[in-house]
Amino acid sequence: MDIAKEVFQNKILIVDDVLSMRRLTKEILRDSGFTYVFEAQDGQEALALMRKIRVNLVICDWNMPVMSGIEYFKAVQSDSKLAKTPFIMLTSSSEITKVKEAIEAGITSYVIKPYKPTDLMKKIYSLLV
Amino acid sequence: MSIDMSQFHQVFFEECFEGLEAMESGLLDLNTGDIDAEVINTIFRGAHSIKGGSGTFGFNEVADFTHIMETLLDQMRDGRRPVTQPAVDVLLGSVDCLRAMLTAIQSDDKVDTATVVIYKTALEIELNGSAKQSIPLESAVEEDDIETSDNEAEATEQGWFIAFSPYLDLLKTGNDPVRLFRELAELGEYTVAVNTRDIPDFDDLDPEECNLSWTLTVLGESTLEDINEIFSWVEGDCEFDIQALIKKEAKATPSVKKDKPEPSIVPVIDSLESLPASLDVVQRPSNTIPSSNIDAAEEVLVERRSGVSSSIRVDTAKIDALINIVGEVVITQSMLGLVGENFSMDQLAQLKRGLAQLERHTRDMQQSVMNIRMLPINFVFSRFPRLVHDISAKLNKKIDLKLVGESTEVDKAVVELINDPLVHLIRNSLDHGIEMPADRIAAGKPEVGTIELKAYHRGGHIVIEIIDDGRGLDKNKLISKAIEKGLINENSILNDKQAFELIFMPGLSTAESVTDISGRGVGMDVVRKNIQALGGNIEILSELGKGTIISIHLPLTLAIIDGQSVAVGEETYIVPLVSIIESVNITEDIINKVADKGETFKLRNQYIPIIRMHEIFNVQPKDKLRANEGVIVVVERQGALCGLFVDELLGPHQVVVKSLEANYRRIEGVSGATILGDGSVALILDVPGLVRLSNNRLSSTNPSL
Repeated sequence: MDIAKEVFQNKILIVDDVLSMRRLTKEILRDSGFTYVFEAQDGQEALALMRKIRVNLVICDWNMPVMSGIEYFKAVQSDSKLAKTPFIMLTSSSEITKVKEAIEAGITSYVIKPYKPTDLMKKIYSLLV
Repeated sequence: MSIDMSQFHQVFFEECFEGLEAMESGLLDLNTGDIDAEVINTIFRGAHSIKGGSGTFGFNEVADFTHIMETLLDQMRDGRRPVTQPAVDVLLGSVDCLRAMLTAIQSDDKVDTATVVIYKTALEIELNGSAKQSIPLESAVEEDDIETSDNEAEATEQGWFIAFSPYLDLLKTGNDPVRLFRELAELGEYTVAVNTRDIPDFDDLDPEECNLSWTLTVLGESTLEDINEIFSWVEGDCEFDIQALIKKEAKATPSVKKDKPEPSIVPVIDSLESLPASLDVVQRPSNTIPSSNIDAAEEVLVERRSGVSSSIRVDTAKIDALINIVGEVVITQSMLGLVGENFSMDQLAQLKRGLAQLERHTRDMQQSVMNIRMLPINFVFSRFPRLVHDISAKLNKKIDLKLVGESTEVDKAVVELINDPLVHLIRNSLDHGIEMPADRIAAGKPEVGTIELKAYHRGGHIVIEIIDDGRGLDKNKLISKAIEKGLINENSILNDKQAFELIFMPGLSTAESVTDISGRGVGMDVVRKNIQALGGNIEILSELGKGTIISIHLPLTLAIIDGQSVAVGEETYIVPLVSIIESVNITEDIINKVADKGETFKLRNQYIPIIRMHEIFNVQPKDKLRANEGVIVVVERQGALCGLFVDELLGPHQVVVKSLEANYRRIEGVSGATILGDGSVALILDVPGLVRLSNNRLSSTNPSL
């Protein structure tokens, strides 16, 4: 099968408490060719969904209520079935110091907001191809 | 990559305003010295989201501005900076400034740069007072990546594209995806592609798990509802995403690059195809409206221009309830249709049953549609902590504002109109009610005054109370002031209630000095007029030295009222049910004529004045010979009873109020009109107005009164 086609079959979960950012990210992904894009508005909702459906990649905002991005990431890590799911953390420039914390926790990848769609897509491809 | 950003703007603005509200209430909750980390975090998050969003959408001035706020808040959050009152005040001001900026941008107006610069400087001073320089902001998304709308217009036929990802346990719930596909196939030409990417190795395979997902296209004339209906079987067991495919005509408008984030007409028209996504945020995707739809374009222009959205957010539960009832109506309707097809008299019982059912459902439907218009009173209340904070600082008073019953729901129209009167009343309480801290201590009261703003439902009304523990109203001062201004007669003897009523008379203010907050004495009569215009009334209870309670009674909705229809001669009038206490049959012998003061009758040891409707509206009674036999409808008007003399009672009705002013002009004693079941028009009586009218008639026939 065509590699590109296979990449676009991945299921991607967007976790962000801000609706407009979720919609935007979703639109970027769809525009690039991804079909299976899901949304969750906080870590708990995201975890519940990940247990119901196989998610191949998570794009997650750092700063969220209920469960922060890093807490959510750690919760995923502690679930052996989900632990291997690649993560892209979205973080803003003012939180750049915290990226260290994320790397120590084992985060695979991060993108600084505001990001260019192409930057995000490059990150996604590098994790999925 | 070509994404039209403007489709997200509406959601973005809504979120910004919500964020600002959260920030504001958080800032007001901040007790300097006693810092709740969670509160600061909430405020920070608000600023942070706005910054992120505005950066992304290219509103760089907003992003710059919030960036400074965010830096300040971040330092407070980490404990690197103390939370001081000046800092909180600057932040509060900045929230206002930001709100103004966003409103201006949303409605395409010019941003008031002067204010922005002032607040920006204030923030920077606050920031650099104890910390070093602010970090430069990363440049926002470069615009060249975002072209307006698509060039790849020559897409496919009309139809739907569906991404269907079942949950792992879909099969265990007894659902078979293949059955869904068969149903889809009946809608038109369809294709299906399976995604086998996630099938695990054979050893790990659980045969009962569903590891497949599918993409489907259905071509043809089917509607979104058709597709949704099929997928309703598996709702809750899968994720599915439906997008429209539409045949596009060759694009006439050239694609214009948006160089500046500043919205202009061109991008709006250009983004036509993305209309639905920005107008209703349901799952309709970017390209469902044909580009030839110019009316829609104009509508958008107007919508964007005016900026003010008259939309409301509705709890989904309310919509579900409505949909449920509509379903019932449809069932009943088809049942009735069946009965009507070959009607014979032996089906009469069935017909009656059906009609009764229809009536019940219609009533339910009306109720739940009304429910959709209901908003929590918090929409109004939430502004007051800020108001009280600002004014008490100005007056050097210490005041604690308590909000009770913020979730009480009331009609949207009432919410919009009650704000100004409430602001006025709260200001009055702050300015005249609550004493200076020193005076309070001297009077043996706690230094901090309390104002309680309370809302609750009572009967068909919402009651809003403003309770303060201030100095209360001085009855004697009020009376002497009223005499001095010639508002009342020197010899009049007034009870407490009547004395407090004086406050609503035009031209009376007991405050010694006129401040910019209150005291011009033009307020309270206007407040009462506004509240009466809403069909409500206002009452004052006060005890000197202890405090004041102002209660406002308002109808829950303005569009529909429960009324009692009464016959006066050949005419039918509607009396609002809420104001009726009881109705009594009356004969001539129990009516007492009071010399020059009209008529009264005795009801349980109380003399009640009679208003003869025939005379007020100049209608001939049905039977002139028995002009003194009829029904008296006892109505209440601000605590006082009054009897309306009518020919007979016809029955209770729910009536839809039609405005008289809009169709004719305002008439004293009549609040509106409605259309009866037989198509005739009935006037809805305005009880307080009627009483005024009757009093005026009496005093004009007898000037000495």
